[in-house]
Amino acid sequence: MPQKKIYIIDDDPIYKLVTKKLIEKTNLFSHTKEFSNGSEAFEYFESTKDIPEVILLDLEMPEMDGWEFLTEFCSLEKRLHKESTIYIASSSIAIEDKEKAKKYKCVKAFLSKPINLEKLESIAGED
Amino acid sequence: MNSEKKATQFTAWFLSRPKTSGCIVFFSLLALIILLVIFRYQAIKEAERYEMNNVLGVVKKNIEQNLKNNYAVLITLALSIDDSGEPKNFEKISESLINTYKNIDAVQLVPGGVIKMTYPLKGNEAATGLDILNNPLHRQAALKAIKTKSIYFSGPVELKQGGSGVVGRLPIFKKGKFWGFSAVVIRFNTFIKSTGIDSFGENNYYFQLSKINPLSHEKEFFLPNKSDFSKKYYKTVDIPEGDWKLYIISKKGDHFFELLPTSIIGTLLSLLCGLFIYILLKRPSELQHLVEIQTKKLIKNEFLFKSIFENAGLGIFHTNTITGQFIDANDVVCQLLGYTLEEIKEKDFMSITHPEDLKEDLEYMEKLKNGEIKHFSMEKRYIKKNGEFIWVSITVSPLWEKNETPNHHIAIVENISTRKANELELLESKQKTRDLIDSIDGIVWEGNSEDPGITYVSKKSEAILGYSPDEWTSDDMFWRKIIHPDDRDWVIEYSTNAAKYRKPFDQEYRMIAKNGSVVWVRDLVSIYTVDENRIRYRGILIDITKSKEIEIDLNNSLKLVTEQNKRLLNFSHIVSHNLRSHTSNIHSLINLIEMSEDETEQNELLNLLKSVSETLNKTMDNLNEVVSIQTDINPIIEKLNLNKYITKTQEILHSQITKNGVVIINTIPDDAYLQFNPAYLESVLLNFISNSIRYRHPKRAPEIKLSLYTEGEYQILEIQDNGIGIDLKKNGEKIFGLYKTFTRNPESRGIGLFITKNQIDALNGKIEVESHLNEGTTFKIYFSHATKENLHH
Repeated sequence: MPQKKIYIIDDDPIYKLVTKKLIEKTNLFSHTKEFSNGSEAFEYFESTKDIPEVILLDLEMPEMDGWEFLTEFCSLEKRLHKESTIYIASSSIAIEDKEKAKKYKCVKAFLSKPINLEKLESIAGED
Repeated sequence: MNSEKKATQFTAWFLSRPKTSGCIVFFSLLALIILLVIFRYQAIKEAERYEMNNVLGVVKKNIEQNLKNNYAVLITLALSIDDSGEPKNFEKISESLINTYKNIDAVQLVPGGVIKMTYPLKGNEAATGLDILNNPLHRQAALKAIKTKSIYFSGPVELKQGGSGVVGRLPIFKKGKFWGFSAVVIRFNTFIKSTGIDSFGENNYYFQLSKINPLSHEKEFFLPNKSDFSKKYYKTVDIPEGDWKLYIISKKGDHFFELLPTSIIGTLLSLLCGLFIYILLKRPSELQHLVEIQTKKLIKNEFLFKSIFENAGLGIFHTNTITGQFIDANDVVCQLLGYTLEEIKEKDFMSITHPEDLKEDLEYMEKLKNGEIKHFSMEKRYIKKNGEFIWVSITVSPLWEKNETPNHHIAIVENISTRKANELELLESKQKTRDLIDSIDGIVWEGNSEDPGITYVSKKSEAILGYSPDEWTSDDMFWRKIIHPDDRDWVIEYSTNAAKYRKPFDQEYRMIAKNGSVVWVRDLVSIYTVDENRIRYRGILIDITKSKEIEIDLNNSLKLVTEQNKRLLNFSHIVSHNLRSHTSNIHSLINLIEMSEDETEQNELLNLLKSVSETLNKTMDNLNEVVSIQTDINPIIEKLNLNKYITKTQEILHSQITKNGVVIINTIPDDAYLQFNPAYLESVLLNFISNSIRYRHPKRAPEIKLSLYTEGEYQILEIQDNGIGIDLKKNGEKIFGLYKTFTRNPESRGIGLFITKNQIDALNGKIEVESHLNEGTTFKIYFSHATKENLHH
C-alpha cells in the first residue's frame, strides 16, 4: 500500500540523499520530494497546494528555518483544510526544541536524526 | 507759708461758694451805699439849713434896715413938730422923705391918736380922721407903741384908704406928755418887696410871714402859699418891731426822696456786683469742681500706676532719657539685679547693660529721641550687682509728648533668662541634630512642594558633591542643573510625578560634582504633609558611586557572562547540531551500505561517507577557530593604524573587488588609530567587507563607505553598503549566529559574522546593524577605548 507521499525539507544534501535512498528501499511511500529550506518548500506548497501526507522537517536551515516554516505552513494548512503530518527531524536533542514543537498543531512528532528504517515504518504505519 | 496757705484756703472758701460770696458782696455794697446816702442826705440837709439861715438872715437884715429907715422917717416927722405940738412944714418934709425913701408909701401925723395929716393925701383921704386908739384893729398896736415908747408896726392890715399895708407908729411925747404918733404907711406889697424875699429861693424856698391877729388872737399868714408847712422843713425868725414871725420854708419836702434814685441805682449796682461776683465765681467754681474730679482721677490713676509700678510682675524702670540715670525702679527690678532702690538711683542704664548689647540699645534710644520710633523692645543682658549677667527683654516707652523735648522714659523689664536658657538648649539641641544630620554619610535635604527650590541641605554636600549648602539654596533650579544630562529628563519627570501623586521617591541617578566628576546617588525622598495643601519633601542623597560602579561592573560581568553563556550554549548547540547531523549522516550511510547488495551503490555510498567525513573535518576546524577566540581570554592589544589594515584587506579582496567593480569610499583619516588585536582587526575587516561584496545588489554597482567617529567611550567604524540588505525583523537575532545564512547565496557559510562578533565581544566592543531590504546594510563596529586592564570583568 504505497499511497502516502513523503516530502523532505532539509539543507543537508547528504541527509536528503541518504533518507531518499532509505525511503526508496523500504517502498513505504509512493512519492518523495526534497526542499533545501523552508521558503523553497513553502513557495511550492503555496503555489501547488500539493500537500503530502508526511513531511520531514529540519529545524536549522538558512533563509527560512523550520520554525518559520511551521508558522507559515500551519496557517496555510488550515486555509486549505488539508491534513498533513509534519515530523520534525532534527539533529537537535535539546528539550527546548521538543517543547516548542508541541505548540504547533500541525506537528505530529519530534524525531531525532538519523531517520532509520524503524522510524520510517512507524510514520508510514500511522494514519 | 502758713499764712499763704491760709489765704489760699480763704480764697478757696470763697471760690467754692459763689452764692454766698455774691450775697456778701451785695450786702456789703448795699450797706456802703446806704451809708453814703445817709451822709449825703445829711450833707444836703446841712447845706440847706445853712443856706436858709443865710437867706433868712439877709431878709431879716433887709427888714430891719427898712424898719430903721422908717424909724428915721418917723423921727424926722416927729422932729417937725414943734414944742407947741404944731407940725411945721409937714408937706415939705413929707415930700422930701417920700422921695428919699422909696419904700414908704405915705406918712401921717396922728395927734392924739386921730389921723390928721397925711402925705400924700391923694389916695389916702379915707384914713383922715381915723381914731386909731379907739379902733380895735389898731388899738392894741398903738397902745404897745405908747407903752414901749418905741416904734411899733401894726399890720399888715386892711387900710382905710384901701389895700393892705403895714403901719409903723412912733409915739411922740411932748414935754413928757403923749402927743400923738408919727406914722408911716407902707403898702404891704412895697414892704414885701423891700425885704428882698422875691429875689431868694424862687426854686428852693418860699417865705411866709405870720402874726397873731389882734382881734381873733389867731395866727394869721400874710404871704401867698398859705398851705400847711408844719411837715416841711422850715426856719423862722422873729421880728419884734411888728411881732412878726418870718418863715423860710424848703420847697423840697423830704431829701430822702431826692436821694431815692441814687439809692435805687446803688442797690441795683450792688445787686449787679453781687450777681457778677456770683457768675464770676461760679465759673472758677465749676472749674474748681472739674479740677477736683480730675484730681481725684489723677490720684486714682496715680494710685493705679503706683500699684502697677510696685506690684507688676514685670520690672519697671523710670529713667531720665537724657542722662540715662534711673529715677525710680520697682521691687522686681531691685530683686532682679540685686541692688537696693537707692543703689539703682545712683546708676544709669548704660552702666548695667552688657557691653555687647549697649550699642544696639543706644541706637534704639537715639531713634526714640529723634522720634523715628515710638517705642522699642529688645533683648539684652543686664549686669547684676554680683557681676552675673541676666537676660532680659525690655520695652521702652517715652514719657514725652510728640512735640516735647525728650525727658523721661519707662522701661519694662522681663526676666527671660529661663527662656534664653531654653533657647540655648534648643539651639544646642538643634546644633546637635544638625551635627548629627551633617554626620550622616549622605546629603540630607528638604524642599517645598510648590517651588522647585531646596530649603535645606546638609553640609555633607560639600564632601560628596563639592557644592556648599548656599549654592543649593540660592538657586531654585540647582538640583536640576547638577543632574547628569543623561538622567536629567527622566529624573525630573519621575520626581514631578512622584510629587503629583505624593508618592515617595527612591531612585538612583547620576549627578555632576563641582569638580566635574560623575557621582552616582540614591535619592530617597519622603513626603511630609504640612497641612492639607502643603507638603514638604525630605530626602537623603546617598553617594552610591562605588557600589554603583561595582554594580555596573557586576552587571557588565553578568552581561558578559550571560553573553558568554549564551555563546557557549549556542556553541554547544552548534556543536551538537553540526556534529550530530554529520554523525547521523554517517550512521544512515553505514546503514544503507549494510543494506545494499549492489556494489556500485555501495561505492557511491562510500564516496558520500567520505564527503561527510570531510565536512565533519571542516566543521571541526571551524569550531576550533571559534573555540580559540573563546578561550583566548587575553588577546594582545596594540595601537593599530586603521587605514593600514583597510588597505591590507582591500589587497586580499583585490580580485573580488575588481571583478564586481566595487567602489570603496574611505573617509577615515590616515592618523586614525584603534586599540585592538591585529589578527582580530584583520578578520573583522575581511569579514565585513567581503560580506558587503558577497551580498551586493545584483542591479547596482556595489559601493562600500567606510567612516570612523567617536561616541562616548567608543570609536565607531561604520561600514555601509548598498547591497541587498537583511530583513532584521526576521533575522535580527540570528544575524551573528553560527551557520546562519539568510540567502540562497552559495557562498554563504554562516560563520563569518559569528566569528567577527566573537572577536569584537572578546575585546569589549559591540556591533550594531541597520539594514533595509534592497537598500543596503550599515554595520557599526564599536571599538572600546578601554585599556587592557579593564577588559577582564
